[in-house]
Amino acid sequence: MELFALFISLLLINNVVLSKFLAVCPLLGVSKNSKNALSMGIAVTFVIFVAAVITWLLYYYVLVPLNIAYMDLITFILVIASLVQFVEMFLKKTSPAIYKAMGVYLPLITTNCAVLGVALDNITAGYNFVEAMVAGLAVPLGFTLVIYIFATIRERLELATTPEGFKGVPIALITAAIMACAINGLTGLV
Amino acid sequence: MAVFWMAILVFLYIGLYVANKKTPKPEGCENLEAGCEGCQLYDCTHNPVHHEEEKR
Repeated sequence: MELFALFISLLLINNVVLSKFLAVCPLLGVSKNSKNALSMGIAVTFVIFVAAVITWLLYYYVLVPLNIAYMDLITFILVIASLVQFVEMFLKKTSPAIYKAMGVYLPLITTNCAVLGVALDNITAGYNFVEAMVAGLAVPLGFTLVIYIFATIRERLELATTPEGFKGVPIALITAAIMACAINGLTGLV
Repeated sequence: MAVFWMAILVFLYIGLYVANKKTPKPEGCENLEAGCEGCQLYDCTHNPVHHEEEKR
């Protein structure tokens, strides 16, 4: 039950984009088209989940025993960058279909602060391995949910009568703010 | 120990980066675009500014 509460909390209430304001760059940049947004979300989900697991294991089984826990930040950055390179190479060789669907977004994810944010949050929050896995799944699923909804709204805004000065990024930011207010209303649910 | 660990990570990243660059893209994936509309980060390779310069 606690794991379920953690999952819902990270998915909706403490949403990585609308509550913590991480990963706003891909939210604004890759949300013009709902299909691209969904592909980006799937790629982010995969990378964050794997990165969360690997960084947790590295921290508790390498950094802490070697008394170099202070190097967690640089370690996580390099490991995440290496992981993305490996995943891209693996997809190119083994699954061209998946690479075609989401491979182009992988380099974007390297600089996505949500990946590092999840890795560091798992450590600072003191999660065990299972909780870290749940967090590694809930956070990117929350990101995917938000970016997909945001993309569908932006697609409709393209057809709507928007004042000239608000077209493009301004109305997108207003939309994101309204979504953040809506998510904030869920505070206290879990 | 910290320096040794850093060296391992850096060489790991360089090795994977080079290996990834050498791996050819699958057929039909040569001209994929992220569909990113770009922002003010001009050092990002996905920013459409760079694609416009290549087209010129």
